Amino acid sequence: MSAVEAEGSTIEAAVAAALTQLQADREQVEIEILSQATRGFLGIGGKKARVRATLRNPVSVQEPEPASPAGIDKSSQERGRGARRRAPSGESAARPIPVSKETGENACQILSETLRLMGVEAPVSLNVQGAEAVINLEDTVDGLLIGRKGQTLDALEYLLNRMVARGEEEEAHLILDAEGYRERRRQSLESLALRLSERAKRRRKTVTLNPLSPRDRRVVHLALEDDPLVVTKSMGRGYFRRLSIVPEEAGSPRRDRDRRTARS
Amino acid sequence: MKDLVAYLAKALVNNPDEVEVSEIQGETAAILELRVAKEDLGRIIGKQGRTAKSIRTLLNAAASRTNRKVVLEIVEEK
Repeated sequence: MSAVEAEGSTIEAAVAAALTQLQADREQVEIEILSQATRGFLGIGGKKARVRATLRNPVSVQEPEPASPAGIDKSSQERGRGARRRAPSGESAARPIPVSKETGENACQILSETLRLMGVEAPVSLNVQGAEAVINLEDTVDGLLIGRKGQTLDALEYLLNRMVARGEEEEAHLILDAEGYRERRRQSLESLALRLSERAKRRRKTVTLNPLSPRDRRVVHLALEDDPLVVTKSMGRGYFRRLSIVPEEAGSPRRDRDRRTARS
Repeated sequence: MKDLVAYLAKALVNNPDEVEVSEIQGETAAILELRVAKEDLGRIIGKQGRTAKSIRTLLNAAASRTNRKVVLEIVEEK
């Protein structure tokens, strides 16, 4: 009876979820792995890990239970406590670690110093929402910190993450934004994705985009995810990785993609 | 500029004391020579040169307001 199935992005996450559901400690349950997680790609198309957790017979392993009339209540209490105690350590291995306040503030400080040395005045503000930490810049010099296609902003973000992560095993990922640039970029990529998918459908041919950054490709993939008439694929490696929008029933996509490329 | 490179480099490497930046002024450009401990070279260059590229991008952004160009050389000691 006391068995649950749970899923998570990793086995550990799935186990942690199962333990929370059962209100049990790791030692009290039998874990059976139903399926491994697959990474998918760029965070989509992956499968979650599934596990089944079965409670072992409720004899407490770690501490002998005193026989008392309130025994049942007590053991459930202990389990509740155990689950809570367990949670932080179980979680830290599993999901992307939320950015702590100190990390965020540390990052802000490093960023401010960097900007000062660049001779730029740009107020910085930190905004932590769950696992996401966004640092917002006010770009006082028109677009200087964003750069062409956001390259300066991306460089700053990348270096900032490297500097913050130094010496630590886990990498927290901070997002850097300036003047709502990320959102503007997302919107323009989405409309580009929709326009090109229309073209792919109309001409029944694969449309290939210019190389984009992983983040940008992800936006395009997600924008077309729900469209049953096209499939999105990425081909190539590194800087040359390009995304193709393939209309469904386009015949042999291989021939198309080798011969035709469209400008985005 | 020099201070910017030194600050970034020190924050990226394991041996910040061995970070050295020297500036050579040319007619239209300034050349910054960055030296780091041998084991930190990879940290400065990064996977596919991404870190080095990012530092250069920031330098160019900062330099774009002046009339001078800035070139960053990462010097490998023999």
